[in-house]
Amino acid sequence: MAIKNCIKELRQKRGMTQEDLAQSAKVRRETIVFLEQNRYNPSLQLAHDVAEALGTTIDKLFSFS
Amino acid sequence: MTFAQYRTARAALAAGLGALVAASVVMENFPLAAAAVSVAIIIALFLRSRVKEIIADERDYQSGGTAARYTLSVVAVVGAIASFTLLTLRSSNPLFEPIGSVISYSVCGMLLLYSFLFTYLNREYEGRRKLLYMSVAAILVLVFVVAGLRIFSGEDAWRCENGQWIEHGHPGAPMPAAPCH
Repeated sequence: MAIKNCIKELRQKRGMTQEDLAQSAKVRRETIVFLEQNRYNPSLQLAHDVAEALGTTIDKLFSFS
Repeated sequence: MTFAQYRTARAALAAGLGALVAASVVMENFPLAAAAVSVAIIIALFLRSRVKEIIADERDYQSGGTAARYTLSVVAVVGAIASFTLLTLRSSNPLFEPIGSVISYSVCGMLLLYSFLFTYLNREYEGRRKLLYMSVAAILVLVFVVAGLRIFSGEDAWRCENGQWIEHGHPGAPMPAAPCH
C-alpha cells in the first residue's frame, strides 16, 4: 500500500519554502524534500506536525492507494 | 553557528584528534591520547549545542538504525571468519593467535551489547529496570569470578619445583627470597 501526499501543493499555496516548513515541523529540509517526493513515510508525530504547519489535517494531507 | 559551519569544524576536530592520537601512539604517551579524546568529545558536544538548525531528525535516525544493523551483520560475519582463519593458522605465525583472539572477543562483545540493547529497548519501563539490574548483577558476578580465578588460581606466580623457584606465567613479584624445599 503506497502513501501519497499533497504537501508540495499545500506548501506552495501558503507561500512557504521547504526550509520554512522544515523549521515549523522541526525536521531537516532534506526530509521535507523526501516527503514531497513520496520517498519517505513519516511517523504519526511528523505527519501531525507537518499537517499542523500547513493548517490542515493528516487525512486531508495523506492518502493511501 | 550553521550546520555547514558545524560540519567543517567537526571535520577539522576529527583530523586534529587523529593526528594527536597518532602522535601519542608513536611517542607511547597514552595518557595524552586519552586526554585528547576526552577534550575532543567535550568540544564536539559544545559545537553541537551552538548549532541552531536541526542536525538530525527521525529520517536520519531511521537510516542510522538500518545502517547499524547491516554493519553489525557484516562485521560479525567478517570478524568471525577472520578470527577462525587466524586461529587455525596460528602455528605459522605467533601473532595470529592474539590477533584472532582479540577479534573474536570483540565480535562476541559487540553481539552481546547489541542483544542487551535490543532487549532493553523492546521492553516496557518496569521490564527495563529489572533487565538493567539483572545485567549489572551478572556483570559484577562475572568480574568477581574472573578476578578470583586470576588471583587465586596460581597463574602468574612463582612455583617451587625440584628445589627451584620456577616462573609460572608472568609473576609481578620478584622471586621469593625464602629457600625452595
